[in-house]
Amino acid sequence: MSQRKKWQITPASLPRSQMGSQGIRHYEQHKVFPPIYQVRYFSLQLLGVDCLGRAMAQLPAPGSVIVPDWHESAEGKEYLSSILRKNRRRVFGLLERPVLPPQVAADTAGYKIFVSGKSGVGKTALVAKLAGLEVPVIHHETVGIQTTIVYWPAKLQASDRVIIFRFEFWDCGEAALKKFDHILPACKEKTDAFLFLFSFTDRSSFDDLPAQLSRVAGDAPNTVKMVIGSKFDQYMHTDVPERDLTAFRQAWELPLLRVKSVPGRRLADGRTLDGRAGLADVAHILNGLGEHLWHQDQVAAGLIPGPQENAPEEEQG
Amino acid sequence: MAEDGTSGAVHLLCLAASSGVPLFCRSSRGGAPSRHQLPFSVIGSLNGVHMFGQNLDVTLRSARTEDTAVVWKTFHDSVTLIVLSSEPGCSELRLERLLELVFGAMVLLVGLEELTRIRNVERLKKELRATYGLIDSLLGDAELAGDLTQCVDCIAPGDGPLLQEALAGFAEEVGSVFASLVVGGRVVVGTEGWWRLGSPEAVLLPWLVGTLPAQAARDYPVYLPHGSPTVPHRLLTLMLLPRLELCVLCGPQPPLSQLEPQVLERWWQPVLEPLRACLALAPRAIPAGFSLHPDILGLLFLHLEQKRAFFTVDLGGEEGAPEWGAQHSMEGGSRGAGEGAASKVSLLLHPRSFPQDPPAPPPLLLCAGHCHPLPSRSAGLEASQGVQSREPQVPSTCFPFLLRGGVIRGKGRRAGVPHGGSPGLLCGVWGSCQGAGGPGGPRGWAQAGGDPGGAPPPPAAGEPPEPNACPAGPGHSDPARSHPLPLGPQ
Ligand SMILES: Nc1nc2c(ncn2[C@@H]2O[C@H](COP(=O)(O)OP(=O)(O)OP(=O)(O)O)[C@@H](O)[C@H]2O)c(=O)[nH]1
Ligand SMILES: [Mg+2]
Repeated sequence: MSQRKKWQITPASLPRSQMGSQGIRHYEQHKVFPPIYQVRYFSLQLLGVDCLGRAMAQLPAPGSVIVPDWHESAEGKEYLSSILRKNRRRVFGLLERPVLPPQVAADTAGYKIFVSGKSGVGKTALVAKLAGLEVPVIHHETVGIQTTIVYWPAKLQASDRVIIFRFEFWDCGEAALKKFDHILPACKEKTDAFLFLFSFTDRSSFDDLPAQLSRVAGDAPNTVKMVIGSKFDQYMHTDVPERDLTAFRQAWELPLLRVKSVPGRRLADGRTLDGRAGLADVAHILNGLGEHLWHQDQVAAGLIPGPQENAPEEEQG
Repeated sequence: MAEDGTSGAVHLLCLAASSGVPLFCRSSRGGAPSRHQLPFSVIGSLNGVHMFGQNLDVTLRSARTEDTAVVWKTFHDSVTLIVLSSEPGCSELRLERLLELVFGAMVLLVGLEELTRIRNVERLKKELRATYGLIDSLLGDAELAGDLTQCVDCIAPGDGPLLQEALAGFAEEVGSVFASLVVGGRVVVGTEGWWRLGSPEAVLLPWLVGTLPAQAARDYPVYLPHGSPTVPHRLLTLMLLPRLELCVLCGPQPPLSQLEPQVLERWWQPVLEPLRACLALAPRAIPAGFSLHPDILGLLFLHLEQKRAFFTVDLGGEEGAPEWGAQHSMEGGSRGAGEGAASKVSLLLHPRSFPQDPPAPPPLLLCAGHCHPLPSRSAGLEASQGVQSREPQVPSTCFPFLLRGGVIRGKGRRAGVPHGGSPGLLCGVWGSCQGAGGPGGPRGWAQAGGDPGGAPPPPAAGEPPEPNACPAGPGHSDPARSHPLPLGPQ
């Protein structure tokens, strides 16, 4: 028993003194927003992919890879029913996958996505929302790693082909990540994408993004990286004004999504989440994610020019 | 303490022993988690009276009001747990065990060191939130009985050997000796190593897995309250099918990313049908195809040596003979039926029956309107070793274990119907199950059935379990049967 400390997953030195530091920053910078932003964002309601035209020309423009509202078409609905059951989202075991009628068979493209961000920014809530599960109302730190699989059929613009995306989200609690040193390597290993979350209501989570980006994804140059601003429904109370976001995007040239991981509509019983409504809430995110991942694959396969060759040219044009 | 005359509320308080700071409070009412909280003043007084005694070198262990039992227990001079229960017939012993199990659950998820050397109360409070789901389930109405029996809840799969083989092969490939398949908190099959896990983790781990929300996979740091309370291990869970989890307990290796779908499919796709069959089995615990006497509303089989149990109050069939062959639909249907049955059955267990009394009495059969009480050494029953009458002639206080809220004894399906007794309730049942089930499955229990006259059959296992077979409670080790550190250092 005396040798047990040899264990690898012994708690790494855990910074215990960080409690409460985020409370101070919370109301420090109270900003007045130009009315135009408020109008724009509150009429948008839903979450969209932002792209800064020229500056991000190497990234696919929203809707350029995947047909945006295809899931609402008759054909799309037919495919969607493979991930629903009795109007609820279907939960798939690891041995299962969506079953399509033989005449509409589609290829599956699987991706591992690591969701990163400070404790409490809404990682677990986002993944639950994407999977059509109940969103946690109270913050419980995630224990260790949990992975969630989300199947999402989408139609490609170029080939008119339907692809079933299989997103495997890796979500780990920030506290667990700091405490156990086996967690971060496992999450990063062979990941296809990083989602960096910050919360619109937690300035420090936004300020931490550059450090996160280099700490977590510094050694993974050719993976998809996306920044996600969570708790967008709380935009009224935001600590992260639009101009800071703009500055950030210009500096980092990363796609940015705004999300609100709040419970969606319920079925007639008043309890069960309505699967279709939930999917409509998150379709833009799933499409955005699929778009970047698919694009990245095409670049890696040499089918389309990558950022390096492309970027200088675009800068001039 | 009961509010508005509602019975069946349980409150659990957890406080830091030295400072009296509440760490958390959980409540359950009518078997479901409730938001109702005790007023702070009540919490303060409950802790105060306990501390007062302590200062005088008196340990206050329990108290009883008209309708409520209160039990205190301090663990490692660091954490005090207090439970109040107004469930009818709730015994102090049962509550004390509950507290031990709750503390076990706390160690399981945050580790003993955090609990015994509290440096930052706020931090600890946050970490303890991870235990809420498991603790709520322990307080409420789980479909499991491991908290009472201190045995691992199992189900007997139809294709036990096939699944066992797949599990062993898979475990070997991923390099862990601790692996099991768990459906709804019950173990379907486990590797030899898994069955060597000590108590209470053997009960708590599957229970925990059954309470966690659905995730495709998890890499969950756990501490083993008995085997490794201060050094974390990793519990990997892989949801092969909804509600069916493949669990692996391991050290730093293998990384979760190594358990790719290809590996899983290689081992588990060939046994997909047996796996699916397990899902339909979950609430009922024993395979279809057994015809049981219609008077049997529930079953509890304990293998005291192996510390495994079958427990079910979901034998299907609303009227007449239970339809074993009837397929329950996976969603909804079977659960509903189970709850219906459960609410009609009161399961009466005597706390002293196991596992402290090694030559333990046999499995208990439940029939509408009567039960077979278990002989016991406790007061009130001492003189009547082997009470075998159909009507229990023992005071109700001798049956303090009442499972499931709102249950009233004798309200069974045939309550009130005069009964001639049912000799050989299990006649022919176990004969037909030879060979079914995993290792240590029904084979060992075959003798348990077919005892005429309804008298409790002899102990299920051939030889009585040795006296040391009872496990150490959480937090202290039992030298007579000390468990090796489940995962030795590399
Ligand atoms: N209003 C609102 N609340 C949110 C949103 N996303 C998350 N929350 C809340 O924020 C709290 C924390 O969310 P989690 O998803 O558990 O945080 P996390 O990032 O997983 O935190 P760790 O697991 O500790 O690393 C929860 O109470 C959520 O309900 C959002 O989009 N809108
Ligand atoms: Mg989380």
